[in-house]
Amino acid sequence: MHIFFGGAHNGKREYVKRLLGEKEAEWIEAGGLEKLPHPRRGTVVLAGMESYLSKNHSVEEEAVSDVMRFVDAADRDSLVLIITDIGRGIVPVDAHERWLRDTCGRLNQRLFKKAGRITRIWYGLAEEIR
Amino acid sequence: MVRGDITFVSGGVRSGKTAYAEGLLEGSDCSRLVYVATGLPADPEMEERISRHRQDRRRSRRNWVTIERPIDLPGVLTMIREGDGVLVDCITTWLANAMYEGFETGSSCHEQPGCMEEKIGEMLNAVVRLAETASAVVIVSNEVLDEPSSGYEETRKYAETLGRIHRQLVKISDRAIEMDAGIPHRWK
Repeated sequence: MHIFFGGAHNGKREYVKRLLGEKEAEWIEAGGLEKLPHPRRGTVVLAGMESYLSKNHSVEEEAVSDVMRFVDAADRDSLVLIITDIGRGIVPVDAHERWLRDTCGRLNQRLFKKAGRITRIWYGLAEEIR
Repeated sequence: MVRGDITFVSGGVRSGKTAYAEGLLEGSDCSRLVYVATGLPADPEMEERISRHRQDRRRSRRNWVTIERPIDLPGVLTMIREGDGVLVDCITTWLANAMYEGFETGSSCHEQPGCMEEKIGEMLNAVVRLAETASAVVIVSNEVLDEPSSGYEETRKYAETLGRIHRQLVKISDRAIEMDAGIPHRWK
């Protein structure tokens, strides 16, 4: 599993698209989905997880197991996650937004532990963390 | 003609990015140091912030010339001499000023089709042209994109535009540095 992470609008998707080139991949933009699909075999890219969780969940355990189920069902070697870092701003006033930040933060710790490769993207530049 | 170096420095609040950017130029052999301030003193806190930056520069071992330009960076070009070191502080303020230009007369730039694209194009072009005359140009900005997307449309537009500008600045820069608590991280 390869995780690309960084702040919003830093060019993460663009970077991954360029990296994949002509390679066949299932690209899942989860932001508009009500349910995560069962991942296909081969290269799968999952992006927009934060807004998916925000729209469909409000209980941390359920949110985490939803994502972990997806991750465990995919081919571990060819799964790509695009994760937006949302944990470094001012604490939100809205309770659901605070919930989302906390959930994503803890979920990311679990995902990062499982990832074979981690790349941080900063305005289109990449740094290998692992 | 040799183009001067362009350096992009970005960091969180009070991460020491301005001090680091000043240090880059103060340690250089630039003949004159020019500080282009985009901040407008809108309230006492902002006035104090500006005066703190001013005092820092006054205490510095080199003399700084300060030019206040909330939006019009191309207007700085005629004031720059060969061999200058130019610091632009900062892009986050510049973007806010640019987006809300015209607010008083009822139509902000960001509400007019094409207005922001034109302003951003002019700003990026001015940065490159500054470097054609100056020996070194340092552009300072802020890290503000590591939080959930805002519920306010204008804030979302601001964040999206700032990200785009940062990516373009990184692209045209010779060096790109992220500051964290006074420690520079060299990305490029």
